Amino acid sequence: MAHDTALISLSGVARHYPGGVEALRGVSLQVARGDLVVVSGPSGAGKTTLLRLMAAIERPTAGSVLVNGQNVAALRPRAIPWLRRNFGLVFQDHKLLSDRSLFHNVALPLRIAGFEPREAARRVRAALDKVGLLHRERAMPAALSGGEQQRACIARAIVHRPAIVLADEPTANLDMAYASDIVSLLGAFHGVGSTLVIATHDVAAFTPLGPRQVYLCAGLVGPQMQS
Amino acid sequence: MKTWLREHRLALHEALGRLASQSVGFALTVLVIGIAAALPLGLRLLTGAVDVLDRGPVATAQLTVFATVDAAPPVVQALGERLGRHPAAAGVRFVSRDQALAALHRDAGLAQLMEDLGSNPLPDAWIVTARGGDAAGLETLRDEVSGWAGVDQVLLDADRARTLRALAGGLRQTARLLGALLGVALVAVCFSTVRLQVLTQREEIEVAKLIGATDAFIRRPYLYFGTLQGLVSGLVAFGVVAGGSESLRHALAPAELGAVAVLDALAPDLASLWLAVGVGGVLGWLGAWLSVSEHLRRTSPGG
Ligand SMILES: Nc1ncnc2c1ncn2[C@@H]1O[C@H](COP(=O)(O)OP(=O)(O)OP(=O)(O)O)[C@@H](O)[C@H]1O
Ligand SMILES: [Mg+2]
Repeated sequence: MAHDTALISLSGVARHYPGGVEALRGVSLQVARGDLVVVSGPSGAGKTTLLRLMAAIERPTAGSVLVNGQNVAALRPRAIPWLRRNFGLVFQDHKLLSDRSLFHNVALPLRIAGFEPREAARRVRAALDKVGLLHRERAMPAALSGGEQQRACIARAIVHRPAIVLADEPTANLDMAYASDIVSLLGAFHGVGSTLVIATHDVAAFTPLGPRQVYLCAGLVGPQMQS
Repeated sequence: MKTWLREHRLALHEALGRLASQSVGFALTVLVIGIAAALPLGLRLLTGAVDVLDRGPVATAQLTVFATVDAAPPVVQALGERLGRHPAAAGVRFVSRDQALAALHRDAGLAQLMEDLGSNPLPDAWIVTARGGDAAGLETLRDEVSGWAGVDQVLLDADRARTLRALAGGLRQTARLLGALLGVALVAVCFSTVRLQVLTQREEIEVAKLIGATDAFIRRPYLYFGTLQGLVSGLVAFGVVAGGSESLRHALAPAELGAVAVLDALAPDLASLWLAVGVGGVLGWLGAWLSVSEHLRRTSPGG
């Protein structure tokens, strides 16, 4: 894959944390527009760190992260919010706002992007419908089960139709039936041209989508397999 | 433009929502700042009133010459003529002891006292307007006239004018100092109330930033909140001053302060309203801005 066509390009990326933790130790990875990449690996391998670097939530200690050809580390702080709007983020810990209804949680990206409220409401309901939570739109996150929270988080990640979805353990709390629903939902999203990077322990759940697999271990990329 | 307006409408809506959800705290804060801020605002009005007194007729170059109480009418008349002839006197107005008594009688509270006294204790007096009117000339005239036979006492109104001016200056300075201190206090109070909100909304701010909110977007509702808090505090201050001045005007009305202008100067004007509300709003905004910016700086991701 040519370097210049990559939507996300990591080269020699290291990320060290205070205390001598080396979460990533020189990862190079290209994600092309329209790719579906599944990153797997044991707990603590650096999967979450990898996604956070892609979304400019963290900066690499060494190496470079390019998104759309832009070096994320060199971006002015003011430019970072605009970069982030290209992403839909599914967080491992959901990060739903506990004092807002499900509807408002899912509407947040649209609020931020300045959508007209009626159009925003229409899109929020469509997204909630896709994850099977339309009937719970008024519920507060605490009133949702773990799996429902997970699905709410996915709805929030796709509601603004981002070019890239970065999903951290999107099926972690779901039973088989819902997991496969989420997988096909993400698959459908990929099908309409979105780029997906999914970090998961559960590679098998995503094999039906025929993803490119990246195996991460102790901050290094293992042999890349194409399924 | 339409999007911009909508953004601001939504932020204002959010700020009002927060305000409503903590209306008691908001009311208390606004009351405390407002009452405190009423002090410099009231002093400002008082300064204006003293200025009016200072500029008024009482402050012209005048002497009041009192005859001795037991001075006989011919002596009094001679004194009057002598004053009238004096080259330094531009005008002489005679206020007889009877006129003075009548004036006191008009003041209901004193009438009874006068009657109890039986006889008129007041002396005849002249109000002498001096030519030129520089302080030194007036003082020379005073010293000269006090030496005349039959003259009990000479009062220089310039003393009063000087006192008034000093009083006005002192009041003005106090008002400025208090105003500045309260300005700082208002910024500090808004800083901490907004900080409390920011801390309770920390999660929301973090998530909003993660999914692409600009600092301006995050700040906006807090800025509205701070501004509203400042505006309403200013309104409270104005209300307190308006109420206070109304009762003061009532209390002063019967007294012979003379000039209606003084009472008018005590009435809070539109300028005071704009000053209170405007300064309050700006300082509230500033406190909120500092508060949110400080939080954003401390938590800025990408480290
Ligand atoms: N903020 C941090 N400070 C210090 N160490 C961190 C921090 N974030 C992550 N780490 C460490 O970096 C390593 C990689 O963490 P990361 O969250 O990327 O792993 P992961 O592959 O997502 O694990 P899991 O599958 O459990 O989610 C871990 O050892 C973790 O303890
Ligand atoms: Mg993780």
